Amino acid sequence: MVSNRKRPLGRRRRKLYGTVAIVFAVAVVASLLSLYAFRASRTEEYRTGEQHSEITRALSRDIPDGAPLPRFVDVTEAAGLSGFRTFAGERTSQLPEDMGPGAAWGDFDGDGDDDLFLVSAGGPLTAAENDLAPSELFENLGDGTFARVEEFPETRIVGMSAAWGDHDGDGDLDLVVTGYDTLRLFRNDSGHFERDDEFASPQGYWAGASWSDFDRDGDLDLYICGYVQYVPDVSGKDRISSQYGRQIPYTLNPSSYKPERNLLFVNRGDGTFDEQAESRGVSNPDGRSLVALWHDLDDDGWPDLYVANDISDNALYLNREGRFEDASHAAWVADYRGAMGLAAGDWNRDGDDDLFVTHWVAQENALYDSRFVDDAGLESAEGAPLRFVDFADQRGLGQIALRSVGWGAEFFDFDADGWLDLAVANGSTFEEQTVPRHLTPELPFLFWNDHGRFFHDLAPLSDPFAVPRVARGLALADYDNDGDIDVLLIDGDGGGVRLLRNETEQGNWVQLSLRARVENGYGPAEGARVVAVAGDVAHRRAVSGVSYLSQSSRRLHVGLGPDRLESVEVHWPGGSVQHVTGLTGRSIWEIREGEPEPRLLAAPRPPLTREQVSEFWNVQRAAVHAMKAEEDLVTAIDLFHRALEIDPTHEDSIYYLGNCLAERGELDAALRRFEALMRLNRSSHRAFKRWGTLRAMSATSSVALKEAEEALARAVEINPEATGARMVLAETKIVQGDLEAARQSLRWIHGTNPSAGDALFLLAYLDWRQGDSRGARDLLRRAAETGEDWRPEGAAAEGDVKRTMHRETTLFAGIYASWDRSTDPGPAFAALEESVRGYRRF
Amino acid sequence: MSEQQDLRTGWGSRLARFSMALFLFEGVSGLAITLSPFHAAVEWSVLLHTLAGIVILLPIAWYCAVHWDDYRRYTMSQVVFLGYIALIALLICSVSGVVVTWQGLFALSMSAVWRNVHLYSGIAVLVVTLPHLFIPLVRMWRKRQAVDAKRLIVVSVGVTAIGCLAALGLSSFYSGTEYVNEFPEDYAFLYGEDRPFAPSLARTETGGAFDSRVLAGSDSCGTSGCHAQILEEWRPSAHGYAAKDAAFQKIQSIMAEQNGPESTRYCGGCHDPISLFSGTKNIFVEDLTGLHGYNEGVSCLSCHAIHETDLQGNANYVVSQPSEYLYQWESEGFKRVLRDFLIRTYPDEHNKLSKRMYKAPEYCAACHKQFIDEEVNKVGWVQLQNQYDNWAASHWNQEGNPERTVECRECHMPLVDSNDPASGDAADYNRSPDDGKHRSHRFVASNNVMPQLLQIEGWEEQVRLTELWLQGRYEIPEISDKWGTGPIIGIDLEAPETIAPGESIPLRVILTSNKVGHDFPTGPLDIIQSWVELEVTDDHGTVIYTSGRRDERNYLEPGTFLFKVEPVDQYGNLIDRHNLWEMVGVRFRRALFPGFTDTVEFDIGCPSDIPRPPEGAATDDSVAAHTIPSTPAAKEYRIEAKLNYRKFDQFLLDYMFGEDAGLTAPPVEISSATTTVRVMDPSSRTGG
Repeated sequence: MVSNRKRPLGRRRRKLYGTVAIVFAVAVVASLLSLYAFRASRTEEYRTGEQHSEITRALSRDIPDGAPLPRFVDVTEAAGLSGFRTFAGERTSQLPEDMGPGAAWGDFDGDGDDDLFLVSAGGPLTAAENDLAPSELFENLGDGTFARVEEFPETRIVGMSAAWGDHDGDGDLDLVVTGYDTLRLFRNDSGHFERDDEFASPQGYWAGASWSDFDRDGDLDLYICGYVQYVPDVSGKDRISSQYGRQIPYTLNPSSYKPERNLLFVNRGDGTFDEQAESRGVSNPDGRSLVALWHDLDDDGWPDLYVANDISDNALYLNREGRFEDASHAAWVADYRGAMGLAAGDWNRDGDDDLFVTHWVAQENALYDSRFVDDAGLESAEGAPLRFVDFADQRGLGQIALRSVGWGAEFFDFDADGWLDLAVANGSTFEEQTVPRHLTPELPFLFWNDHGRFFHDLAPLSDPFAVPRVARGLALADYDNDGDIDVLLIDGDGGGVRLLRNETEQGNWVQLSLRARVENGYGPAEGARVVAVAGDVAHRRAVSGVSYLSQSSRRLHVGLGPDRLESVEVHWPGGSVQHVTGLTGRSIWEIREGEPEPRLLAAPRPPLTREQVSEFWNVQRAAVHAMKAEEDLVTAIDLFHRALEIDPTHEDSIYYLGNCLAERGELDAALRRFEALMRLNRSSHRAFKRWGTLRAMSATSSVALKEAEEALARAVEINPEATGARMVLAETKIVQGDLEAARQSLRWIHGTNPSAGDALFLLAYLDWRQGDSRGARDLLRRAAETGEDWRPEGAAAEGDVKRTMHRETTLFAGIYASWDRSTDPGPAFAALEESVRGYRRF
Repeated sequence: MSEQQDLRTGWGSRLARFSMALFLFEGVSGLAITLSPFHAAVEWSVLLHTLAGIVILLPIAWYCAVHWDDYRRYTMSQVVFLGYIALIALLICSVSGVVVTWQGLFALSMSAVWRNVHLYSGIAVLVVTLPHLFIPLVRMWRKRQAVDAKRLIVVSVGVTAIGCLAALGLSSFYSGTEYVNEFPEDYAFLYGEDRPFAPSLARTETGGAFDSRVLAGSDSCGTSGCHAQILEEWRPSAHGYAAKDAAFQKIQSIMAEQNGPESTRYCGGCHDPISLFSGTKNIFVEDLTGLHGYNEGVSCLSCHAIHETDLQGNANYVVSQPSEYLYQWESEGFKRVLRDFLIRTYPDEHNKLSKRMYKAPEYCAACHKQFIDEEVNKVGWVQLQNQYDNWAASHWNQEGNPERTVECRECHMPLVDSNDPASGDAADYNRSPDDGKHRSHRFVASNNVMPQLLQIEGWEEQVRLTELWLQGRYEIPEISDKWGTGPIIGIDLEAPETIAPGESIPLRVILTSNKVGHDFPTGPLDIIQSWVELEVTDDHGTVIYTSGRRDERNYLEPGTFLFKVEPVDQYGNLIDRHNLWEMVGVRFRRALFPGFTDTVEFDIGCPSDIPRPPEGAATDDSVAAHTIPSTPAAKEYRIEAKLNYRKFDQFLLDYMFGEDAGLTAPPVEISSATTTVRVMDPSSRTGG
């Protein structure tokens, strides 16, 4: 047995054991791997919205590397437009409540900046006129803010659109405003408006308004779109009807109503009109028209008319020397879809102007590319045919719009790279299941034109743009005259406006304000066209455009990209052509018809270069060091001036310079600086408080005191919880003799800060002034007891300092500081009384 | 043939060569793992060691069985005895190896017991096996019969060398992320090259930049369920959103515009360390907060990689670049499994991320203590929020007596039930290593605004707990004996029981800091507000007096008694945008020190005592509620007082986000009290 066991294993058995061992080891490893593979390969539950690599999107594109970063800042509030409302009350689900409104930019006062008329949709159709939110005119103050023009005639309507046009040839812009059952013309006489009562206002639901001297007789005519023959019916909102397959209230469905005719007001030459739409064949009785665009699409010098119709075919009327020819179908633009807004521009720089049309939900927007130049060889008896082909899908403008309802739209070169970009306002017409019922907001589009190849929506890259809204109108203007085009969106459904200031990095650009000859000088040049040549590109622009119920600035902006401007050719509405040279880029020019020399209106500062930014901070840091550390005010003032030469809008720099000047006794100069800061930033508590304080301390008249009081009141309004401005305000009340107001302010200060010894001191003074010596003594005692709160040793507290480093600058701070804590009112108030008397002398 | 050569497990057998070769590699790699400093090659060794262990497991078992069978009839000798010992040690080593591998792959953490069993049994195997082999080897050597043994040694050493070279080779192939620890070329060293992050006092161990990825990757801590619970707590915490905090972002951009982009480094040490150390806070930078910094704020590693702090505050800490495990940032796939396995089975480096000093309030002080000095405002030193020194000087700090001391973590990181691998603590006086709890990383305090505004995952729970916290309803059982219960700030009313008709009511509102470990409120007090809201109604339900209500713009009504600070610049103008670079002092400040009391006095005028509004009272005739209406004679007045708190003053919110945004910080009622005052019957008075 033993010897048997000592025999080596047979070859067969060794192989068997070895195989078993290897198989088992492999099995262990394989089971571990299998377990892992099993865990990793478990089928995951399907989630809606999953991304699948197998599903491709040929029509979408990644944003290319060269795309600009759109920078827009929402300045609505700072501009003073946040108070405007487009609706008062609750919707009653009736069509006229939801379709508007628009807005119109126009320089009504001729001061070189665009002012703004905001149309309000008013309110529910059931509301009384007085309850409707008013449409309002805002004057651009030139400092980035707007002020409502109080004397503009009150306009409470269920409003739709507005359009500026100098219909009486006096050189200033008049205004037409449309709405449900209303059509109003306001005559502008050197900035003063009056409603033209003689202007016919037929009943109807009037939408877009467009001015044009279509017959080239030297005066502006007016085309008005009629939407539908709406019948007010509150009960109709609960009846359901179908619109392109969607179930919506009957009263919100334009198909429920017959189309309204359009109107053509032909100017008689004296500012009065003759309505001739029907006789001229442009009443478009089958179209539910929303807006109409006058634009010379076939370059014959005569403005053609393209009408956007909702749920009915669009119409194109070619202008044949004053007569109209319906070319809707011949030109392939009789679009049957629900059209809202229109834009025109040569987006692909091929030498003819193209059209963009916004549509309803589930309908792609249309990019009608004009074949005019391409087809120039195909001349027929009528001349070159005008035809358009819809390129929306291929250029990124089609499918992206399927989920939204498009409204206002304009071509503009927001980054001045030489290619026309496109902004589109969106907002649904569907109601949400809310009480009260609201409409569904949607994101607007900001399409960047990638060198004519593709339009990329960059709105999501700009926070102020990427806000869903129930937008309707869209209008563009360089309201701050800084060279780039800013965007105004106006919302329906109880919204307001949004002014988005463009701060995108710009290429080279030029702006042209065209002034056509009128009887006694120069006036706006509606319909004029320019070709600006830069590099080897001819950029086409025209004074036209309606967006949706809106009007953009009539000043032309041409983005030139990297190129230098070489020449400009102006085609005036009257037919003359003018070549203009001597223009430089990055400037705003005025060109007058017949005057060879252009006038430079403005040359805004370009964005700071890196070197300038570096220099600014070096200078600014040196200035702050000189001011705060060295206390060398002369050097500091010089340095702050230098810093502000580089960046005139730097708030700290302005503020510090003002303070340095004040410390040096240069009061007027200091006040001017604080005024600049007050204009620059309406929420600058320090600017208003400092200005008010300095004004009060240096006052030599009651007017000055009043002005100081107003500034201080503004500071208190900006932050009513702070006590500093309230204290100086109380002091100005004392010196003006309004002791009760002062007492109230001082009590409030003491309520917020029971340790406010200065407030108690002045309250004591007021008691004493009113003969209550006992009360005064008591308050003086309490004032003398105020001081730092007791704290345990070693306990640090926020605000601890090693030495006092600030100075309370008020009218009486010095007097309070030198009070010896005596509670005898006579001596305690002697200095104060003298100071107050000094003020009381004027 | 010798007797030896006849044995199935003899020196010349393939089984012996195979087993011995891998056995030697296991021994050498095990020693290397135990004794070498942390290195990628060692991590690869761990993986190879495990792999070899799995491969060798059965062959060596077979070898042992046959070997035992070969020699079991041999007379017991020292070699045989050592063989049996080695066999037992090997058995334990193998079983523990299997357990450790299993735990490394499938458990949340590895048991230190099993790991040590594996380590020590492995050492025992080596120690016993050596003489077990050496003795017969010498014997054979002398008999010149060691040819097979020599071959076996050559093969074993060769395989081991190949294994070690493989580990080195793999580490040169991949040893972790290649960080770019460099400042941008145009980085501005405004305070000298030796202080690249000034005016923040934060520093890196190297004195240079850290790639933004170095301190990021918090999400990876929560993968595999390891610290998932802590990660979930941290996300909506103030540490989690320290950089993406919308207010921080806005103020940072205002500061950059007005005071220069580099000056925002002052804030970065505590709010945005990842961006600070990667050199993002620089001139010409598109966004002063980088993506990693924005997403993670005070990330896991921003705290856990700090190895030194100073009591000065203003982020005076030194952070080091933690060693990185292979595939550390992987969140899924096989690589993540390898990463988890390494952290669990080779955890010493990972465990360095937890330090005893993290318990100390002085550690928190690095950021929870702030000041401005000449480097910031160019004028001089000002104390800002300072929770640490408040606490240190308060009754909550009883040095050396943990039963009577309440430290930062005990309130702000209360214990929560936990299945976290890091649960349990032997060092805390009231904890044990297996208490099944960890300290919450929510850092619940007072910000009930930002988690919701930013819609951070889990904001609802964070806001709910924050409000409970502010109302003193957040229970912390482990410190209930020393922390107390009820409102954090108590409110009491002192008023006469009765007044004569027409007399005013002298009311004293007494506020006592009960449970707050530092000043209440604590900073930044230019932003935070706590105030007394008062309403007095008569028995007809008519409101005769109010204070502290919010107006339609959400500002507090004039005259409201406020706990806050009114900071000012050199000219006495308000610091209202958190523009600390201009702050040089305060106009006034009011905050409650722990355990202390403040009293607010009101003199409430009652009807028929209209002529003069009372001191401290808001009696604006233009404000309807302040009007004292003419009512039938009241018999009783009911006074209700509340202490409210809100995280942001309204001006700042309006300034940052625009009034149209409609943002306001929802106030939380900290505590309230009511009392009644009877009006004496005029007839009885006359009679008297």
